[in-house]
Amino acid sequence: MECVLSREETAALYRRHIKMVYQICLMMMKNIPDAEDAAQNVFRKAMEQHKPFRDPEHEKAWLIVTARNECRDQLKHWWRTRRAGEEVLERLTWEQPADGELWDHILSLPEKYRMVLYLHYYQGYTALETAELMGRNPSTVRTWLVQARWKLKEILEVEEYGRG
Amino acid sequence: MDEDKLKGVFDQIKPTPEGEQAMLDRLLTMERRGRPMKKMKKLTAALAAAVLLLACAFTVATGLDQRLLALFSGGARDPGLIADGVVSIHHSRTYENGWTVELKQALVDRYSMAVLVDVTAPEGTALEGDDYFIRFSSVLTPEPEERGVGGWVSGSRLLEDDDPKDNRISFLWYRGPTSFLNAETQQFIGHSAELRPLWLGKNWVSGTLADFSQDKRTCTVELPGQDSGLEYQVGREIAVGEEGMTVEKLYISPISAAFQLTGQADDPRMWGPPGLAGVAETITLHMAAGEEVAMERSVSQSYDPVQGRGEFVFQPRQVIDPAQVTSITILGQTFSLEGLSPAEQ
Repeated sequence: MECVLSREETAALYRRHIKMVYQICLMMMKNIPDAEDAAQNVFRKAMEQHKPFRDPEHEKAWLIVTARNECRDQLKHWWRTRRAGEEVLERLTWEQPADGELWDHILSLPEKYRMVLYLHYYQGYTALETAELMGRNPSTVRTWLVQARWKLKEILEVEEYGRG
Repeated sequence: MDEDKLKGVFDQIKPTPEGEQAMLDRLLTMERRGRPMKKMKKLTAALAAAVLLLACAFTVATGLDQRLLALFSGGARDPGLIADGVVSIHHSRTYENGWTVELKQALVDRYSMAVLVDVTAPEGTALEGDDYFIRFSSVLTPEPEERGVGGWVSGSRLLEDDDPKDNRISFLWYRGPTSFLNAETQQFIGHSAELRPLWLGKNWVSGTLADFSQDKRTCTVELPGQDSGLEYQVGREIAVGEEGMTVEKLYISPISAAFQLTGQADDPRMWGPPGLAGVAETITLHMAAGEEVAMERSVSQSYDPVQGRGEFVFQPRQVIDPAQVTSITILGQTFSLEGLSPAEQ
């Protein structure tokens, strides 16, 4: 396969964005081996990308969209059904146990909610920018943001009640 | 819901330093095409050899994008059969008109190639409907030196769209081998394919929706060197119309059934009734377990009028195990493979 970026450029791009790409892939794929596979494919695509990125924001946006598309493609594969039943082989470590629980709750949300929460609250994109990245209307994304927050709140309250 | 709490959780999601470095190393060496090997290190030495075999088999099987199987209405009971013919491409290009064409994977054997293609239109374009098609320029290299005029059949099949309102659609683009007037049919195995999208259309009335033809850059795909098919020298007579021809060779792979017939020079039976027109409907593969497999489509039919030799390639309705084929019926006549040995390749 023809590579457009040099090794040095690829390594630099990777260092700049691996954390973000990995976060998106793990959020989408829900397990580490698949997230690593997907993240690697995203950077491989970047290596083969013929059109230069216009600026750092374009570069970042391209990686977000590509990461999401890559994961969605991976999730269509027939063998995903095989992996779905597998235990996650490697666990994440958390500063506090409650963080891990919150992460589990985030993963239990539909994909669109996970993405809007991540892009808006963590990456700091506005609703308009998030809508552009997700290829949706801004009004739809605003609705998703509200619904995602409510959904998460609902889950957490049920959890709290269950513990009480 | 505390936003800081949410941020704090997301912030803890990151690869370990070792994992991060390992992914970069793999990326730079481009050495892996399947799953990371990291977990293998955790296996005990006693199990390593056995698990390694399993892991390799899994890597091959998981490399397959299931959408390639849309070629076969009967599906694949054992997708592992086509693993040797699956080529990862992952070549994406965005054109000046804002469209992106991504070549994902190819499924190849000696006589047939299918490429899985994702097309993304500019944002705001809804690709609705089921009558899109895509055209590619395709050159197989190296080409024979004295080849004369060559031709092949190609086409595309739009895959089921799980979100008809969005701007993405997927195709299987396929082509048969190149048949030359002055040379042997050019096979895919061991060659390279230079692919270039030409245009995307929506039915023949609307015409071209997106033109990529001005961009002359090609995607070179190295095709497999390993042929997963079996070839038999048959040498038996078959009645075609009122006279006989000879079935010279038979080739059966997981995705193709092909045979070579020799008749007379300028033999009119090669093309029309009462000869070989509609031969595809008469072909059945008989499997050892008693199952019968019909053909999905004709891939290629070529004829050398000087030699009086025709080559016919078909795609079965399902992925098959060539070793399990016991006989083939052509034009109502059954040829047993019992006692025939596959030719060395």
